Amino acid sequence: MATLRSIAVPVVLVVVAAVQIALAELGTLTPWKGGGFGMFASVDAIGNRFLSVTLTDNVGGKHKVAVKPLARPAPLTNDFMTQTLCFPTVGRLKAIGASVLAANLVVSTADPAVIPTSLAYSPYGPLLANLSRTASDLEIIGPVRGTSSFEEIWDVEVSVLRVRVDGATGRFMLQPLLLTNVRPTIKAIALQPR
Amino acid sequence: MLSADGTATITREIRIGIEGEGHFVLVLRLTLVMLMLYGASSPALAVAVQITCALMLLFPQLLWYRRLWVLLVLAMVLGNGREWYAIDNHKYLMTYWTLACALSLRDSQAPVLLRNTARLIVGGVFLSATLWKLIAGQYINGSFLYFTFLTDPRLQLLTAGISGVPREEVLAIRQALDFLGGRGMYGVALPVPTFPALKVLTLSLSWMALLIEGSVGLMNLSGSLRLYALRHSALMAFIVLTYFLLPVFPFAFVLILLGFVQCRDDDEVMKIRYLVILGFMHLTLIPWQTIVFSRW
Repeated sequence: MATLRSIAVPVVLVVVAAVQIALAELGTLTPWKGGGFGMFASVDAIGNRFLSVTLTDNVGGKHKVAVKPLARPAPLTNDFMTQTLCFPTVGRLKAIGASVLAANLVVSTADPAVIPTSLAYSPYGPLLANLSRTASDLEIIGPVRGTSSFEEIWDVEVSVLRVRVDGATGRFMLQPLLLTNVRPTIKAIALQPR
Repeated sequence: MLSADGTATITREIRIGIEGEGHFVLVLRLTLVMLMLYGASSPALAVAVQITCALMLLFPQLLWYRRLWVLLVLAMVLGNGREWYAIDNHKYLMTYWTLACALSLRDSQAPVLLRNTARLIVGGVFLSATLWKLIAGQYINGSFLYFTFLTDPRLQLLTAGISGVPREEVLAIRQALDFLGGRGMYGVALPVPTFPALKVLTLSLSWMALLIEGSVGLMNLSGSLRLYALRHSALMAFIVLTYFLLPVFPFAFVLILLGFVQCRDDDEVMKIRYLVILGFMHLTLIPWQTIVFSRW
């Protein structure tokens, strides 16, 4: 009985760790969390994960939404965002998409082609400046109070990006870990008989 | 500030804890101190944990009241379990350890039981950590540590200092990553700059960490008496090297406790070493990287 009690807790530890490894390797859980002791083993930490939200309007224009901490619509709390980055699920991404659809959105006055000065003078500066220009059809907008500038939003693409480091080529990039689309419900208009 | 009487009492308690029979009591008390400081995440349950721990520390007879330990386990499971995928791993470890304490109090051989459980927990933790480093695929070739040294804000100053690379160049990598992430630009490959000295350092550190963690895991699982001194030395080396570089004090605390409980009753030197490390780890709160490397 004493032996059983001394191994009971370590057995729980091993079971939790095995489940965590499965969820991280086969699913979307970050290796750093979840009780598998995978911290400092993978670059896939939550600090290296990003939320990406892109709107498509009725004429096919694409617009990036910056979901800023202070301007988040009500359900998108800091905790919810952290949870989403740690363990993204389709349900959580759809909730974010639905909240963005429900929010009032305006086009930001910031020029997306402008990159921070400190970065502009770094070895990455020219490349990133060029990328910003080629991606100029993407407007950085933020959900703020006010009126919407969009006549119609046809689609919201929500994804969590994670970093990948290729040791062989010596390059790093962001890749979508999980991506989902949310479309607004089209309201049926009941025609009145004349 | 502690009065002279208070300091004397604490010193006496620690002395009793080191000298033999009080070892188990000191382990339980240190566990309560740890839980009080770092136990629960949820604010509501943190208060419950802190009050329970404070009462158990103030009234020594409550230390042996098993239901209070079970209450602590429940509070931690409820408080931390709700966000199981977002909490740090040391919260898991603290919950396991509290459960082990609660289970051991039913047994007449509680200190022996707890010692064995601690050994197996350390073995499980370190083997899981080693397994992750092997399967993640970025550790053995050093690319994980190399990228982390360049992008982790806790290490960037140190990286600039030891590699001789201007700080701005080191900071630019993190900024570039945040720039891509902030604009949702995926599929754009950027070069990781090559700093030869840092490459050598991170590859060496990777293998050293793998070797130490794997050894600590295996030695603790084997439980061989011949490995007693080596097992403790490896665990202490890991704690000092890791947490001085990456100050995660709660994790260091729980590992120190798991090592301390495993000390033989007559091995006062080993117990003192763990307690000295526990005190020494407070130095990690000093921003020494900023002080030493800020001129870079």
